[in-house]
Amino acid sequence: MLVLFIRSVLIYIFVFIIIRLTGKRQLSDLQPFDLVITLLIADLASGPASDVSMPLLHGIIPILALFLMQKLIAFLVLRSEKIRRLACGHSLILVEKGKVVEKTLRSASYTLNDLIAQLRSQEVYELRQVEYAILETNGMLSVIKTGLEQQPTYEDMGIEPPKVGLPYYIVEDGLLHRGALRASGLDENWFNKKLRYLGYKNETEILMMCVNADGTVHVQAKETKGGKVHVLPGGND
Amino acid sequence: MGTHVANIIAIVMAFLILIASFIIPHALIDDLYFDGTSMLEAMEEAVKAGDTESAIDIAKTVYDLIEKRMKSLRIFVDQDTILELEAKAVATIIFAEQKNVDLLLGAIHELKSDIEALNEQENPTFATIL
Repeated sequence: MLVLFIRSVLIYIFVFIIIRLTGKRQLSDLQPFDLVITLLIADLASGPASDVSMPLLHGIIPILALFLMQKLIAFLVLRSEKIRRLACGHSLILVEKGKVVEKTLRSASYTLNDLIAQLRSQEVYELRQVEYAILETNGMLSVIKTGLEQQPTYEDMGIEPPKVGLPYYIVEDGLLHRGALRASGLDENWFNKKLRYLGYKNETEILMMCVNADGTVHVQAKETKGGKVHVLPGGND
Repeated sequence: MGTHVANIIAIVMAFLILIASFIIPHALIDDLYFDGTSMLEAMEEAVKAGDTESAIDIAKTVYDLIEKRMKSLRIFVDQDTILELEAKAVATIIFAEQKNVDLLLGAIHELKSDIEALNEQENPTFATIL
């Protein structure tokens, strides 16, 4: 068992170093120390799951070893700037003031095609639209567009912004979520009143009911009840 | 707060499972190693002295010891290792009963080296780990 544990820890460290060295292209939204566990865990779990002659602990011990390693590194990364730089690296500026930084591009193992593809995925189709492009430590590309390409905000235009907040799904597939109903500041009396107003007997006839941040209520009946969509204006009545 | 508590519980549980899975098999295999190897050595001496009756008795005791220990080790050691050890222990009884000294000595050595290998896994050296 100790051998399994130590071997798993060694493999974690080895794969971690390799992923760290292969660069940010491989990361796909995860930090290197998170990606290692994602890569290894499925394989470790499948062994004892499919092979009955292998004790379950032969899968559990390495997974626990990886879990503890991941927690340890996550803890150290939070505590120490030096370890954070070592474990996660630092973000790289690939485009600076509208100009591609060739040296950084090469050090990140990025081709110009990769950069352009990443920009396209952010709905930026021309390099001249980009003021800064930053390759984050998790492999994501952040883009700051040039001033001309920036979208004006409500504040810039002097318009009252719409109310923003969380929408509450209080009925999902015929089930009433009382917690969501309470969180939205409403109660069952209000809910029953709305149902009667719309001509439904109870929540089982509703596919979805959502209370939006501006107070509007979006309701869709189940197919069996006609599948009608209702949008009710805000207010507690 | 909930996530923080869940994290701490998960880490503590992981540590407890790991510690238990290090201590329990370690103790069981230690027993098997010390008792098993000394018995096998005694059996070897009995065989060499021509005392086959004692050799048969020791072989049966070794088999009982292996069977008993392996029952407890079933969740730690893979099935193939267990079956192999048990089969080799049975072989020593058969060879002792047949008074086949050469095969018996071979079986004793194999069984001894298997038990030693199992013990080495629980008391690993740098080489075993790699």
